[in-house]
Amino acid sequence: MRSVLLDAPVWNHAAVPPWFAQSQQTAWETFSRLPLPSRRDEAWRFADLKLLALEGYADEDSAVAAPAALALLEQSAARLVFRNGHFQAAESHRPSGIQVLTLAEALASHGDRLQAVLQVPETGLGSAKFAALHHAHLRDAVVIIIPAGQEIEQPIEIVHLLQGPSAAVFPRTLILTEAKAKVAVLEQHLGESEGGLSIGAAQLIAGEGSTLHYTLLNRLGAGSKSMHFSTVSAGRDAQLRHSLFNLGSGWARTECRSLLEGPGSRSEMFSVSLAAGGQEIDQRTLQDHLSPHSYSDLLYKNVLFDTSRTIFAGLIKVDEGAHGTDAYQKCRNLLLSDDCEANSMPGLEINADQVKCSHGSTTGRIAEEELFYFESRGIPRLQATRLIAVGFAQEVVAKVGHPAVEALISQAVEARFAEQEG
Amino acid sequence: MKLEIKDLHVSIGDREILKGLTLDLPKGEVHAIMGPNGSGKSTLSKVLAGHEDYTVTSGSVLMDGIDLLAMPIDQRSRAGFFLAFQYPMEIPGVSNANFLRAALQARLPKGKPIDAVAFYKQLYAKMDLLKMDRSFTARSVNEGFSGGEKKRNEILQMAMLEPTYAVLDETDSGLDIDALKIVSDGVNAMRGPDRGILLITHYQRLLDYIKPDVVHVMADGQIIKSGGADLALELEERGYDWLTKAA
Ligand SMILES: Nc1ncnc2c1ncn2[C@@H]1O[C@H](COP(=O)(O)OP(=O)(O)OP(=O)(O)O)[C@@H](O)[C@H]1O
Ligand SMILES: [Mg+2]
Repeated sequence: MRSVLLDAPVWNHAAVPPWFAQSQQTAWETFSRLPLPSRRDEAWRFADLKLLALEGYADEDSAVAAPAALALLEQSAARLVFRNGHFQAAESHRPSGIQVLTLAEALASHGDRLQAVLQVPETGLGSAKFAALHHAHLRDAVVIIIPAGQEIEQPIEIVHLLQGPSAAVFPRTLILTEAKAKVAVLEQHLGESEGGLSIGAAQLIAGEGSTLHYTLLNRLGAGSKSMHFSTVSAGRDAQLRHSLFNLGSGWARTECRSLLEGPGSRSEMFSVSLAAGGQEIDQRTLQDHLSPHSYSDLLYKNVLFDTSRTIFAGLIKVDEGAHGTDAYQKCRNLLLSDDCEANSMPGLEINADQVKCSHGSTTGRIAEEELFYFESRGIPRLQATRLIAVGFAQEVVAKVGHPAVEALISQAVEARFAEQEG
Repeated sequence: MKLEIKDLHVSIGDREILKGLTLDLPKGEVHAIMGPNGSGKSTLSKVLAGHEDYTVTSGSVLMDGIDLLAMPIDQRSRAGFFLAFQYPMEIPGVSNANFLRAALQARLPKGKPIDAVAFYKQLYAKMDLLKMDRSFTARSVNEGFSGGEKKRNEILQMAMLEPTYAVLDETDSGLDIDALKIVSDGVNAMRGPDRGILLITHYQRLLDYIKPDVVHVMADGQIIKSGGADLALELEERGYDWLTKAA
């Protein structure tokens, strides 16, 4: 078995441009050179570094099981299904009018244009080593390019299935929207077995006046580990929305860096995490305002059961010259046991004038009086708790903005809470 | 068949609030409790519902012969007890429809899903009766509701859950003149041989709309006098002094 950590990847670089081959080679060297995060690392504060033991995952084709029923959108503009990183043409559909490409296709047709972006997806939020690992192992990717003025009505759907306890996948999605283009993408990470490793990345680049909505649903198995790095950049008057739903994985770390590069740009970052058992969900964010009159809003919610832990560390950074910035950041934790632990580290760094910023975090339990009200109507305590917690999560689901996507997420949330109830 | 409260003593911490309260509410009747502020009316209602702040030190409550106080809170409701709260809770994030649906679902055998079509049909019918706008189904339970809307919502819940014994704690407080009539009609529609209703109120006016079979006066944790509907009129005229002094 070739270990994803110890053995250099075996690349098939025959058909790729030299720059891409080089980027993977360099990424592997970077990964090997960089040290593991340490206790003193601010970007890993509160994290249980023991969970970073990523030995035992294999860099080779695991047997791909027969297709199981997937929860899919009824209607999608395009769908790409990957099993253990392998594109499944038979389960996918890609109409001709939309540029939804695999890595090989994208490199062949848009190689020059992609050179600057198809590099190690660095968030600057602590996982440079693992972002390099991800890039080094990349075999495929989804590249979506929406040309100027094109509005895609239905969402585009990407599904990654992780099969087998020692399988490792490295999902990569790059979405470029040109001027005034519009698209919504739903990416699902699904686990058909308990274990596995997923280290993924999304790069969202929204051109002038375009609208790009991206939603990632993690429903990997409870024994799996996952990391996901997003870099988001919004051009002039662009509108970006990045929504995360962490309903799976025993350990999950997400990093999301949002750059408000163009004046008048907007970025929204939403997240719901359900942590249970001994799960740890670790989320780090940056809202970086580089241009005047840009707007960003972040709402991260965590629901914690059992002995689970969550970490939220977020920074709003308003650079010199980014006057007229509106930036908001809120983390809300709902504790459903006495033994769980929610860590929040909201942060602000303002170097410009005339800015409106607020940040904060709240941590609470369900009030006894609220539960009493439910029980007094005959609703058992456990169900009351679920209804309240689902309601807490639904506020974020309702912000995704596409009815079919919201319905799918909503069902996943309900199902996950129902599992919790047993 | 009755709700039978016998020599009930209830404390909060060291303080005794109900001091040997005895009251029978037979099925098919409507009783009213009136009494000064702080006399323990809401305490009684919450003890019956099972609120954990209150300690029953002695006495008993039987609902059709079954020990109500021995049951967990949710089971009391499913067994047929209902309390319309004086101050209903706001539940952000849970819609009125989902709340009621969960309450009805909890009454079905495990694994049997509720009939959604029938549920909404029934819900809309009851809402029409109480002249509640359909938009209330999607709104979070009581969140941002006006005082009167919350009270109406409590009666909607009662209408949906069809309890055997219902205690309505100052449901009339905060209702405007029209709403009082509508809510009273709603309560009257639920009167019948299979249901006992206990109205807690400060105002005779409610009893003009919902004619009680018996009126009780409560003071300092006890029932100090019971009588017919006329007793309410007398209280309206004379206040409580003449009774509390005599007692
Ligand atoms: N949770 C509590 N903690 C402390 N004291 C309480 C609590 N609940 C009730 N009491 C006290 O018990 C007494 C009875 O209160 P209760 O609410 O039952 O009165 P009430 O008859 O319903 O009054 P009102 O007519 O004003 O509604 C009051 O003195 C009140 O302050
Ligand atoms: Mg009261």
